[in-house]
This record gives sequence, structure tokens and C-alpha cells, in this order.
Amino acid sequence: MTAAAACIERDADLMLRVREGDDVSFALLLEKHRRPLIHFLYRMVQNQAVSEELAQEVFLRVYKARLSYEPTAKFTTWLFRIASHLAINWLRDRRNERSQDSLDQTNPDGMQVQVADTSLTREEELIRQARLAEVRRAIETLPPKQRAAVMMHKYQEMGYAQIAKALNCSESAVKSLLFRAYETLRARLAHMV
Amino acid sequence: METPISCPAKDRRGSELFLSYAAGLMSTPERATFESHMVDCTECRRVAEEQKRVWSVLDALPVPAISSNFDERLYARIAAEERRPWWQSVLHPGFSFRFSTAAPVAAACAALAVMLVMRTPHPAPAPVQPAPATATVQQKLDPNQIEQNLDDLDMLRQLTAPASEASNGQS
Repeated sequence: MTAAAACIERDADLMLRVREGDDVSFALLLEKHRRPLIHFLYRMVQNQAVSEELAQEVFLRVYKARLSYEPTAKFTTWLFRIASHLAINWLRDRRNERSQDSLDQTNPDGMQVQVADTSLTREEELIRQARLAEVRRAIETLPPKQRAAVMMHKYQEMGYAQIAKALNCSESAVKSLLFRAYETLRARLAHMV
Repeated sequence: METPISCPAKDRRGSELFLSYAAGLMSTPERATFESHMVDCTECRRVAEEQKRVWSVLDALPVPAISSNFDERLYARIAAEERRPWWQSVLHPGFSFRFSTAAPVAAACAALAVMLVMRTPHPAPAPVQPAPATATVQQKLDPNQIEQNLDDLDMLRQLTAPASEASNGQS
């Protein structure tokens, strides 16, 4: 059995135990998937508080669905399907709500977390922060579904088939989403060294 | 000997090659063929270089530390959700009406009502009876939870069997 297949079975097995009322297995699933899920959501919504709130909603839904759970699909695909669904809806709702708000770091609701690099001089740090802001703006220009595809492809290292299942579309649609998204990112970010 | 490839920069399907190249996912022969093509193709060289830069720029994007009380908040939320009566879920601001789920349920209810009406021969006066035992069960049902579970399980059902995914070699 390959490591990937063993991992799939392990998650499904844990979820089946959660179905039987074993809360320790839920804690193990939470421990395993918490970080990648929150990071995915953070990269999607660019807001720490919202990413954690959405991650809580994902785990809550998984827990609530435990009694009817059947291991018909890979657990992580299901998890990221719920997560991308929630994040895309949040982005669409927010876009409708605040068309005039600034997308930069001065956003009043503490959008981005500024992680200072202490090894840099003040000037270098300012340049670094400006570059990060530019990258974030480039990501924010991507439509929600393209953004989700890039985040799953780049950071979760998912294949086209798995992204397609998570986004409920065909593999060719995923390739098209990624092609357009990376084209946009290349146009906006390729000048950065 | 390397097999020449058609120019990926001129073919939309070729974008996969640039992504694989930037991500370092190409096999050694694929990489050799692609790099051999790029020696003479300035357009492919340019796109590949740009894609690599985008890749490294995205790598540098930081993510914040996760709140230390994340699990605590989640378990409190789960506990609160389990205690909440169904009518509070319906009145909760987060409750959302989903037509995709509600429409079939409404249709099923309507069909059931029609069947009941058609199968009742006479409107005979029924004696007044105490409330049936099912009333207690009905009170315990949470329509919002059922609806949300159905929605989440819909997502699960639409996915194919895990075996096919295992063959993809993704973890």
C-alpha cells in the first residue's frame, strides 16, 4: 500500500470512529488538518480572524455530519471542498458589501498580518512589506474560484483531479482556471526578483 | 535522443508544462526535452522564467500563527451547537435558506399531503386522541442541522471513490 493510500484510509478510519462517538479521533483529525486548512483559508481571504472563523465552521460541519459519514471520497478533498465553498461565498459576499474599500494593509479590520523580519534594516523591511502588499493585491485581483485553484495547486500540492473534485468542476476547467490565474499573476508579479 | 515538442507557449495546453517546470515536478527526460526546446525558443524561455519568479514570490508569502485558543473555541462552539434547540437554529442570523435542498423537501411534503388526502375515503369525525408519541421525536429533530448535513453530504457524495484518488499519488 502506498503512503498516500494509507493516509486516505487513516483519515477515513478516524472519521468512522468519530461517527461511532470517539471524540479522540476527531481531535486527531483536527490536529492533522488544522494548520493546512487555516493557511489555505488565510491565503484565500487574507484575514486571520475570518480564516479561523471559516475553519471553525468547516470543522463544525464535519462534526455535525459525522453520523451520516460514509468514506466515499478522500477526507481532505471533502474538507477542502467545504472550505473552498465557504471561502468563495465569503469573498463574493464581501465584494458585494465593500466595493469602495481599500485592499491594502490599512484596512481597518486588520486584514493582513504583518510579520516583521528582524534580520532586515528598517528600509529593507519597508521594501519587503511593500513587496508583500503587491503580491497580496495581485492575489486579490483573482476571481474567487481561480484563487482557490491556485492556492490548492501551489500550497496544498493537489493534483488537477483533486482540485476538480474540491471545486466541483471538470479537470479541464481546473486547467483553464489555473492557466488564467497564473497568466494574471505573471503579468503582475514577474517583474519582482 | 530527445523528442522535439511543439511550442508550449503557443498552445494553451502547454501551460501545464510551465507549471510542472516551475514546480519541479517534471521527470528528468521531460525536463531535458523542455529545456532543449527553450534553448531556441525565446518565448518559452520568457514564460518559464516568469512562472518561476511567480512561484518563488508566492513561496515568500507569510502566514500568521494560529490562535492558541482555536481548539478551545471550536469545542465550545460544538458544545453550544449540540445544546441549541432546532428553532434557535432557524432564527439564527447564520441560517440560510437553500433552494436546492428546500425545493425537493417541499415537493416531497406536497406529494405526501396529496397522497394522504387522496387515500382518505371519508372525512369521518375522528375521536380526539392524546398527542402521539412521535411528537417527542419530532421536537428533537433539527431541520437546520439535517439540511446542512444533507448539503455537506451532497458534496461528499459527488466525489468519487477514494481508490481512484489514491492512484493519483496525492496525499
